[in-house]
Amino acid sequence: MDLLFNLEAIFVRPRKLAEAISPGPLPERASIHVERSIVAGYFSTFWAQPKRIVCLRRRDYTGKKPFRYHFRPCQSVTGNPRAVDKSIGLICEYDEATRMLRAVKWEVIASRPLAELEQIFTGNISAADFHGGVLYSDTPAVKFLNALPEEAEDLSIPLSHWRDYLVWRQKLAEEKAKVRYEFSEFTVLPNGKSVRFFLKEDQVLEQVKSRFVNEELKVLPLAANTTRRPVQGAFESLKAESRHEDRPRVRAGSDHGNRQDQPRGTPEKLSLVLKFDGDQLPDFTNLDEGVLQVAMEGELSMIDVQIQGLARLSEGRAINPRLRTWLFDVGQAPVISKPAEPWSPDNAGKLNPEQLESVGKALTMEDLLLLWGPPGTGKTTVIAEICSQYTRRGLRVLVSSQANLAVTQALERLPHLPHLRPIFISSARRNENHPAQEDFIRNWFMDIRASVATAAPTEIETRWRNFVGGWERRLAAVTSDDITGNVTEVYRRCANVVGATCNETGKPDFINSKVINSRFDLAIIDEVSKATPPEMLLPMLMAQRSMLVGDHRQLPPMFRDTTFEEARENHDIPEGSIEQFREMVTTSLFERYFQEAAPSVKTGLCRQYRMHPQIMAAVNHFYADQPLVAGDEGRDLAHDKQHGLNLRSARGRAWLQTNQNLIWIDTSLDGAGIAARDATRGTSRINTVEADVCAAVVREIFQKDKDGSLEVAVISFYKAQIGLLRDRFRAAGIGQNDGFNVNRDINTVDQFQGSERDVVIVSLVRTGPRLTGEFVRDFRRINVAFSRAKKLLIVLAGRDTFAASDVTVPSARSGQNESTRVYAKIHELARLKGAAFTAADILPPTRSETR
Amino acid sequence: MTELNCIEIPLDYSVATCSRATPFHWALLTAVQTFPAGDRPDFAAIAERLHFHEPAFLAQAWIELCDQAAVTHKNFNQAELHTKGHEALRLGYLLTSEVNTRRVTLVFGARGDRCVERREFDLIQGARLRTPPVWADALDIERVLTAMSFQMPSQMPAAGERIIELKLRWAEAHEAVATW
Repeated sequence: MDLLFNLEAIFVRPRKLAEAISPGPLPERASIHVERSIVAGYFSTFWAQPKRIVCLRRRDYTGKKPFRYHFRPCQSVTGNPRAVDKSIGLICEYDEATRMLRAVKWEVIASRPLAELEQIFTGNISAADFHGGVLYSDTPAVKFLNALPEEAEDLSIPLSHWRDYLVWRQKLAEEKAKVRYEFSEFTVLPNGKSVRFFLKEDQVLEQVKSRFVNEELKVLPLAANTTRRPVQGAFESLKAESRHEDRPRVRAGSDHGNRQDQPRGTPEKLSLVLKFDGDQLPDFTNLDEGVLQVAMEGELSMIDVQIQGLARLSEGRAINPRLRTWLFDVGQAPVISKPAEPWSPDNAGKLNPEQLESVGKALTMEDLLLLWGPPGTGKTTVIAEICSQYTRRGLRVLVSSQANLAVTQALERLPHLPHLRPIFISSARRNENHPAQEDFIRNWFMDIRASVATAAPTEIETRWRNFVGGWERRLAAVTSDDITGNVTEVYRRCANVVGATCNETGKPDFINSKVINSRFDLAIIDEVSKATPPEMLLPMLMAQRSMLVGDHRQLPPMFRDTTFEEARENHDIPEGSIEQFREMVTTSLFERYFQEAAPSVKTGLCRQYRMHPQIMAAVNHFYADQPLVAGDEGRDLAHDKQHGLNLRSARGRAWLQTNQNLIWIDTSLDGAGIAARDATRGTSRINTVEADVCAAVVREIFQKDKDGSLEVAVISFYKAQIGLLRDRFRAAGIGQNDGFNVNRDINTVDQFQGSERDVVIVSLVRTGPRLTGEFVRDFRRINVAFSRAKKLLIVLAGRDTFAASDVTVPSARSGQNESTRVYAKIHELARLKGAAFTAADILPPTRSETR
Repeated sequence: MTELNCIEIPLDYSVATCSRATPFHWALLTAVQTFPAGDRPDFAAIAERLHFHEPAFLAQAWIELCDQAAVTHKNFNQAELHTKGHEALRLGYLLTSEVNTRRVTLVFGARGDRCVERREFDLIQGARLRTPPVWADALDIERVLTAMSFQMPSQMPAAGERIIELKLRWAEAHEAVATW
């Protein structure tokens, strides 16, 4: 048999291949001729001889050719055909006309060989680029190619669906990036951090607002040939110059009107304010006029990373080659058939039977494990235990999630044991919430010291006892000087629990990192319901096994920093387009996985440890088919979760008692008995009465909580309400001496998923006779909002507005939904405990500010 | 014009550029010192007994010790400590340059409460000091370096240098009067 290759394509840019082949580093300025000669030398000596080549054929999902053929050389003719790791393989397409295999790519073979799919070719191999050899592939060789078994499933259809979704996202982002507005002048505002830009052309205020609200904008010079670098600032407000004050707030039309209308209005002179980060304002000298444009580079690069992830899956570059066989048909995932070897928990005494079972399954799983964990049921505890058990066995774990918060929380909860070397990887700008590398190393030294301290006295031999004792004393004296560059480098290389967001794990810097080892035995993807399938795939590609952890009754994936539903209501997504990508933008993939997977590969938690039973009773409306139970384990959760507060209103009236843990404050009327009205601000909403009540309640809590033991958070469905609350709290200095961080502790529900606090106040904002839109009736959002509180949940909402509205929730009959008045039922739970109040019980008898 | 009764004291000190001896350097140097050549536990055994479980840290630290000539042999099992290795254990630092010994003379007020905080001043030397003053024991390295920074700034340790050894020669100290 004779096979002819055409290697022309890989000689075009040979440097990376030459680097991969070359035993030593290439000179930095090596010419392309040198690089080509290295590549040619490799192929002439290694390939262009009678050889045994392992072949594989895969369906080409790009659809250009039906198949791609993967070739990897054996180490020697007589060698083990499976001993091919780390060699250079070729990916080729067969050209009928020339009867040649045209190499389109090269790859470093890293994945496990597929014994059932690969065949060994033992004929002659020639390259058309070199002299001699055969002139074309002969008929037996072509027959050989055609007879190769096809690898796994044909992924072209499901992958193209995922790809279409990403292309759609890409187009949305590109369209947004195209919008440019020229400005003719600007002024720096007195605060020194914000700048007002005056737009050159008349524009429709509502239209500009809908494009820029919540966005980061780039300020570019008008002249394209200038070398000035664009600077970036956050949109703050927008104003029509004919009016006296900034009014990005009230949208034309009714507060409760139809929000599906496209923005309308008359073009007019506008100015907008951007706020810039950092202590110093960017240099705007000599910038008389310029352009404002939405910064979409991050979004586009994230989408590109996900597209590359699909390509890696399709080209068989997943660490686990079986991933492609069950990713779209989870029933094919190998079952967990053997019981776990006996093991002792590192979190001694803290794991309940379901958690123990989950860890046991994680230790024996083949490819996949699904863990369903409702709020407060200890998912993070299970993750931490699994990390500890895996690393004890010399294995490596990747902990990933759609957002940083879940990743950092999982790393923080790891047991303090010296066999764990965690690290957090992020290419994002340094953030106060990101754990520092040095802290991980310092903590690791402390963990070693704690472990050694118990072991030192047990050393029998004097030399060892002195050595170990001295080691403990040396560790006690560790300072930041000990965390040298080399120690850091080795630590990163040997880190065995790596935390990174899903998108981070798909970046080339992560995949090809020389600093950390990016191959893992297990990828744990937490809060999986918030990740889109292409996002979720990225960490799965990097590991031999995958564990998906989440709750499809919590929030679905985000479109940038809102949900897809909200983005559609804000006109960021065209009407009708998200229906075709339902599986991408909802939690339905995880839900479907849970329905279709074999029983052995799924496990669930139902004992919750977070909430007082009164709060749990409210949350159980979303788990009617499998209610949460208090995970007491002999303790009294109701006793442990006492808030200890007795509160009085501004009028001196007692309202909150220590035995009330679920409170509803009706905000239909303000302190003076005037009906409250919510208002739209930009594309979101505010409610000033609720802001007043919230400020009064939090102030009172901090006054009563003398020892500062209670952690408080305020959450809302609406971003504008969050902005209003933050402004109020800052202006009044509420919580500033009580460890309350306005930016962290006042947040949207979407940003707060995965967090918990002792006291949570939920501001529901909406007023009027009934609720419109799906956003506020999405049971998953309500579930997340109401399940963040440990000791005290205070709901601020107009009773009549919410109690009259139906919410679709899972019914007690498994797999079915029902429409029910959940808000009314939760209000009733509060009322039965005497914990249903009104704003007038809290506020002084004055009118609330209406704006 | 200010006149101050002083004590003039010669100071001998040695400086060298150093790098911190990390806990892993300490572990290796101590292991070499504790266990005889040929009968020494390997990196994996040490990593286990010291509870950090990852010998790669020792492998890297050993390369650094070899590069710094702190040990006699690249083979851990056969190596012994060089002077630099002993010094690293004693000082907590690995010397990365030759030790440079210098002498300066510093002037302190006779009551010991202050030094002459000037670079240029006139000094009239008096009788040799018979016994160290009562405040001699309180003259710590911080006060010595403060005096040096005023009077002999060019002799201060350069960036990256550390003082390895420091001796105040009280036997050679004199009474003096400084004026400026």
